[in-house]
Formats: sequence, structure tokens, C-alpha cells
Amino acid sequence: MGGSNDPNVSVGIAFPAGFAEAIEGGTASEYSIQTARGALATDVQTNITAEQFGRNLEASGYTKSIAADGVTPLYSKGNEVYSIYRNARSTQGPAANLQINGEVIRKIRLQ
Amino acid sequence: MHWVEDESMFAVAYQRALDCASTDSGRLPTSLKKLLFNDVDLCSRAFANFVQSLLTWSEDDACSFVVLRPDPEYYFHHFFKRYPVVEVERGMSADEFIAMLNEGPPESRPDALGIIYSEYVVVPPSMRWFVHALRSAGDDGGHLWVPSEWLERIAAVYPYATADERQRLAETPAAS
Repeated sequence: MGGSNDPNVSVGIAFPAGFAEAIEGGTASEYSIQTARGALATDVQTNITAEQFGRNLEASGYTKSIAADGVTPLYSKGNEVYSIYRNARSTQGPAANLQINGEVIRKIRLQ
Repeated sequence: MHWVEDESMFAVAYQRALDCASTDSGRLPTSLKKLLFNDVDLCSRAFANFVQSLLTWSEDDACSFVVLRPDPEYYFHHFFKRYPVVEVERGMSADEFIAMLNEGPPESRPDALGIIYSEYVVVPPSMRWFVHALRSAGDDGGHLWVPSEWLERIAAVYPYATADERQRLAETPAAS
């Protein structure tokens, strides 16, 4: 377990060549690939919170914007967009998506 | 912007979407079979192409993508004076589909329908098939309901939708 097969795609946190890394100014994170049932988007489990994840993205140069609800953030840089959902489903906690050119390529489970 | 402005058009699509949600929750009867997929796969070329296949098989000219949560009236119409409904026409390219779902109000990109949704429905007028999905941290938030005779062809063109094990077990006769 652990380690990405696709090192070219950032999860916006530290980007994993190994199991625990940190970006400069960011929070150390662990992650593991959880994708099942042949889903299109890679499913990643991490050990960081939505707040830490957002801070890491801003530290990595992503620009934050907020939906009209005042709480749902979007982080964008170039053709990459991260959106964070604090209550993806009540039993499963927060999650984030990475979109490149509008297409979702990664779902990230947060703590 | 592609979002629907007309209230009567919204009302038709909204009621249809609510019926789909009721069917998905088991409150309305159906002969359709349920498959599961990752809700975020909505914003993918594979899903866009798959919707075109579904439209062809059901012989519909278009289907509606409807966001049920956040609330269409108290959220979307309140803030943007439009409803969270877009039409997916037969022949629409995957790029057009993805661009439409990523199109937010000019002043609020995070409110694009394919980004802000917590719950959505995709349904054609014939209602021969539909999708009802909840935002999920897991990989089973998308529910696709289709005629049982389509299952083989779906497996061939869209292998990312898989059988609902709970439904299969419920249909298996108990051993005596």
C-alpha cells in the first residue's frame, strides 16, 4: 500500500513519491490509493483535514474562491481545480476532487 | 449560460428529478435495475459519451441534468436568478458536456453545477433510465437505473458502473 503509480499528477498536498511527505510550508500527509470497482477517478485516502488541505493548496500557489454558500472553497491554478466538500456524506466525512481541464481525475478522502 | 431561467421548464424537470430520487430510495416502484458508480465520474469524457449511448438506446432527443441539493430555489435561484437545470442534447460532444457542467455564474465559478452539487439527477423525458447521485467520499454515490435488457451493452460501453450487490442478494432466493 502507498505510493502513487502516477507521480505526474499532484494531489495538491505533498506529492507522494513515498508514503509521508510534506510540501514546503504545508502539513505532512500520508496517503494511500483506495480505488475500487474500476472507477474512472483515482480514489485517494489521506490523513489530513480539509483545513490543512486547503492551506497546503494555498501554500502551493492555488487561488482560493468561495461558493455563494460562503463555505465551499475552490482552489485553482492553471488548468487544475481542487474543490473541497466538508460533508461529502454524513457517514464518510469530507472529501476533495481534482479536476484537470474540467474533468475529474482524482477523489481525495480527507480526515 | 445554459442554466434554465424559465420557471415552468424548471418545474417539469424538477418534478421528474424528484420522482427519480423517490424511485432510487424505494418509495416508488420500478422495473429498472440499479448499477453503482462513482458520483464524480459525472465530469468525465467516458460518462459524457455514455449518456449519449443511453439517449440513443432510449430514443430521447435530450435529457436533463438537475441539481437537487443545494436547493434549486432557495440557493440557486436566490443567488443567481436561474435554476440548476441544463439540457444534454443528443449529439452533444464530451467536451461540450464537461464545459457545461463547469460553467458557473460569471461571478462565482465554485457554483458550477458539476462542482457544487450534493445531489443530482440525470433523466430523459421517457424516463426509461435515470441517474440519481449523492456526493460521496466513497465510490458508490452514483446510482444508475436501467432496463435489465441493457445490462450487457452497458458493461461493454461503460464498465465503470457495477451491479449493486445488495440488490442482487435481495433477488436471490433464500436457501431452504
